[in-house]
Amino acid sequence: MWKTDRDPVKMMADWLTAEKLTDRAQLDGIRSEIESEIEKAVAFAIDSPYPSPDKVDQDIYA
Amino acid sequence: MPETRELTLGEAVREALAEEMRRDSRVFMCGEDIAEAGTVYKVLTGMVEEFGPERILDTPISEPGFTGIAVGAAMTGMRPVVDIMFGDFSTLVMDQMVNQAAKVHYMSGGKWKVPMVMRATLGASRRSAAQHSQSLHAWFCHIPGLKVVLPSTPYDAKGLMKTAIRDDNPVVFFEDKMMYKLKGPVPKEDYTIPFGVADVKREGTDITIVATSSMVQVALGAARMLDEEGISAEVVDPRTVWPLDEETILKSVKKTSRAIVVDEGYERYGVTAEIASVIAEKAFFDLEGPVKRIGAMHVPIPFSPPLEDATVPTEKQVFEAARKMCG
Repeated sequence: MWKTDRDPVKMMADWLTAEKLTDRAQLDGIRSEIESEIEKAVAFAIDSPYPSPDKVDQDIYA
Repeated sequence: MPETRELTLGEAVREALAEEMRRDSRVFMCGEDIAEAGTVYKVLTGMVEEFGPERILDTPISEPGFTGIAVGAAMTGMRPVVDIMFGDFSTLVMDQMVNQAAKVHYMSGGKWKVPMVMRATLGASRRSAAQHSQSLHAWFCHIPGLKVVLPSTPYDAKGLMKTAIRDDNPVVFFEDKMMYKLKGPVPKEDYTIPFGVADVKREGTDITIVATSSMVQVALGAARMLDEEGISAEVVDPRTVWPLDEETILKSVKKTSRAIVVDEGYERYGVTAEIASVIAEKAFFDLEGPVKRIGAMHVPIPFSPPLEDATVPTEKQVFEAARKMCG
């Protein structure tokens, strides 16, 4: 199954571990760090008020 | 007096690119046949010799790939100039330009910017057939987040290219392939031309001809013919079709009370349609009659010379339309 056997993220992790370039503990650490960053970002988005409509045409151009 | 020389439009574009690459090490180019070959039209001759293959990047035939690379490079601090060779190949990079480059600044709330230039050619009458002759610039004008430049002289090409490279937004820069050999005076010293500022290429009092890119030369030719008939035509070149200098166009139309819009793209839903609407909406009561649009005929551009010539606006066509309107 390409979804389970050919996931490039999983394959890369397996390869890095096999080559002893990293280990499971470090990879798990990276994963939980990213998960917590995402959770914080989602919480920030949910807790923030909606923008006022006058912002709709801001930032189209730098 | 500042020193000027006669340069072709192609030389003016190259000089702008070379000067910007000397000035700013973040500027680099990528595209097909741009290094040793110096592009199909030899616009970039000598660039790889001066700047090396790491800054003049010859790519495989992979427009979406190298345009996507440029979007990413621009987001991370570089200032890429992408060469799309024939504007017809824009079809291959619409996702990179429209869904990525044009949206990144808005979607990131201004945190990311995409300072890149996409160069492409437009224009028919080179017997290149339907897949290498289109003028598709209107597609890009439709998209918020992009800017679209259509130079008509070597002077404008150099000044506008420098502005395009220094702009912090994605800019699409269309060069008419039939104009690369067009000569004109170009100052030696550094100068830029701001976007959104039209140039009155010829002053007149009876009719306004708004024209873009190589159609400016067509409009000027028609204006000379009209002059012999005692009709004084004003030729206005927007230079950038987005941002569009409505003020200069409307000022001219309010003075002359007649307007023709000439552009080499298709009339339907095109640049001529947009500019004609602006005039109709904002200067209606100053007009003697309806605004006339002249664009490419709504057919795929044919290879056969007599057929191809029938699709492109000509001096005679513009002259006759203007004479009728002033009659």
